[in-house]
Amino acid sequence: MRTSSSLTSMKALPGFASLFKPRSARVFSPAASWLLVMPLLAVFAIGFLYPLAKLVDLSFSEGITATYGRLLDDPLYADVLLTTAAVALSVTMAAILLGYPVAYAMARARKRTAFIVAACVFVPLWTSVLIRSYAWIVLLQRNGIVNTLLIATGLTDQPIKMLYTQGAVTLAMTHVLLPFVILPIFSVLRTLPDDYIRAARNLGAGPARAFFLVTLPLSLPGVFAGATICFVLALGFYITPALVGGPGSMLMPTLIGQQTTVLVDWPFAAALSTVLLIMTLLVVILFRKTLSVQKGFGSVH
Amino acid sequence: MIGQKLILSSIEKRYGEAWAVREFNLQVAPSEFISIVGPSGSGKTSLLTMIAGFEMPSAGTIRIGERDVTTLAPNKRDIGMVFQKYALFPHLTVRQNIAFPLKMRSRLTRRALETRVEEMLLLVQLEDYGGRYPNELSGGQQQRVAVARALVFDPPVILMDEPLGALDKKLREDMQFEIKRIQERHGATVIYVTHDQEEALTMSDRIAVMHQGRLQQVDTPEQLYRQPISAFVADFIGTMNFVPAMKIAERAGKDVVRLPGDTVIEVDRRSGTRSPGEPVGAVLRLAVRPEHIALGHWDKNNSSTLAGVVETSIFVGSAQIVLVRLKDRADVVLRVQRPAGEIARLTRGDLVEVKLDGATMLAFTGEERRAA
Ligand SMILES: Nc1ncnc2c1ncn2[C@@H]1O[C@H](COP(=O)(O)OP(=O)(O)OP(=O)(O)O)[C@@H](O)[C@H]1O
Ligand SMILES: [Mg+2]
Repeated sequence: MRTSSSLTSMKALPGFASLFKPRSARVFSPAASWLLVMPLLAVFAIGFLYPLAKLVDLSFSEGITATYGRLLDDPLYADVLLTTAAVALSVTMAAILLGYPVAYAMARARKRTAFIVAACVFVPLWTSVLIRSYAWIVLLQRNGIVNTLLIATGLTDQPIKMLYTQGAVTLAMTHVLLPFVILPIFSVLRTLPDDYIRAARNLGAGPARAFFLVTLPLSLPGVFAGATICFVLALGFYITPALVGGPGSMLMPTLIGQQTTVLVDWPFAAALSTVLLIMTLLVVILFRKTLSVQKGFGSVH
Repeated sequence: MIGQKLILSSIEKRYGEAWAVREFNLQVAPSEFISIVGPSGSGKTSLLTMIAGFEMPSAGTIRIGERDVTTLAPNKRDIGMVFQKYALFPHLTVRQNIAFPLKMRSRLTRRALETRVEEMLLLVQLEDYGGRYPNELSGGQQQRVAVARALVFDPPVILMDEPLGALDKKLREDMQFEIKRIQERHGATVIYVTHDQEEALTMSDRIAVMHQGRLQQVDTPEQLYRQPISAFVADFIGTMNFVPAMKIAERAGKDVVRLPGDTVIEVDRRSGTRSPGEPVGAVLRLAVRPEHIALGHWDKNNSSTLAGVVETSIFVGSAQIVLVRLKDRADVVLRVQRPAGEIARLTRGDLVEVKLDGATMLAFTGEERRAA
């Protein structure tokens, strides 16, 4: 939009030129700017906003009581919603606790080591979620690798039920979502100038205090970004819970899937989706609020 | 007195195959303000990082006062440091930044700590800015916070790595005085890295000139300006002209040299600069400051004078700067500086007589290359 090449081509059309008359060498008038952004806005409106509006509309199509009323009446749904949030929360926490050290190692390590660590993070990311979820089934099933190992080492004499539990869902989802937490933290740590840590050390902080007082707070924007992405993705995650989760650990996306494909109750599915959407939006807004409260971060980026 | 002496002995630093610092020896007196200057890549920052303890020297020892700190962790060295980009913690307020080193030491009670921080804010004239975050300050203010933070715990030695590099000219000059004032009040020993030789000349007790990782010369600004020991130092400190010449005789401790155009003059041979003197016939480079060259009317009958052609003449307020190309050595352009009004108007192409005085010139061997 602001390239000089588009400007010069504009000059070739004299009648048109007055409309696009640039105020300064590289800035279009507001009217021209809007006109130029229009196609993109139209695509967004048709592709994203319209389906959303349609979804919300659908959820009200049979009256509010038939869908939202039912949602409130049956404690099962509130339960599922709560479980979903709880799982998403524990996945996010686990991913941050596991992901931070990895991101830190990637950012601080020498080239070769950093490359190997990065490969360990990226290759799973590029592998299909389906494959990774099945891998967990192989690991966790009754006569899977983990149980075989436990029995062989004598830690238990009965295979433990691991698959189709909420624990298995949390574990597998953490694994799948880990890269989404690692990358934002890594990119913040990477761009954090060495000078801050050096300054902290120079002013009398040992390695641990330099980390907790300087590196960690300064990498919080990355942590928040990673946490937001992870939490939002976890709220709507379908494949992994569907594969490794059992009927006892039903989550929102699975419930919605059931309503649409098995029970074909589209309005109710739409209502469930709307609730999930609102919850997601609330989380995003909440995280942004928390972040903007942290003053002084403006210069970190 | 707060300042302590700093002794660097035979410091070496190698990165793989490349040397960053070689055979570096320097003794800094307590409360001395010493500048380290040198071209880019000469090893100034490498030296500071070793003194601060972020990197270990490949060889040599570093002592502060009576302590050998060569292998000591940076947080145990008690050295204040001002970084080129200040490195103020962006998530802490000015007050919290300044309090940081005190909190790390936890020697003071909370009350005493707060008083001390206010004192420092007063010293750097930022008493109204304590509650702000670094990104809410101007460059000059951030710089002063960085100085306050480095001074607040009374370190015996303070390192500054081009602390004024990011500021504009006017602010730089103000801050030079400011830093000097604070240092004199406070009494710490300061190692000040800069590649601005003018800044070094105005601020320092002594200046160390580095080139390719080696120490070339350490001296007072005046001595360094008047008696550079090598053509490199002569060229690096202040502005210097070099005139090619050939030694044709020796007379009473002076070298008789022939300049381009067959002018013959006598140049003082100064102690320490070249010993023993070059043989007769050696090619020399005569170094002369712009203010030591005079210009006269060209007299075509007097063949024993050095002739030059005016390239440009610029008026810079207090002085007139004239660039003169030697008539008989077209590759040599001299920069002449005379007080304003002393010389008549000159225009491009005018022929002038270049008057050189052997007493104000230094002779160096011809081989040395001009530094980039
Ligand atoms: N971490 C490093 N790894 C490899 N080489 C390095 C490293 N740090 C510095 N060097 C090299 O050591 C030499 C000295 O660098 P140094 O940063 O000390 O120069 P400087 O005098 O501070 O230059 P400038 O004025 O540009 O800041 C340079 O040739 C540089 O390339
Ligand atoms: Mg440097």
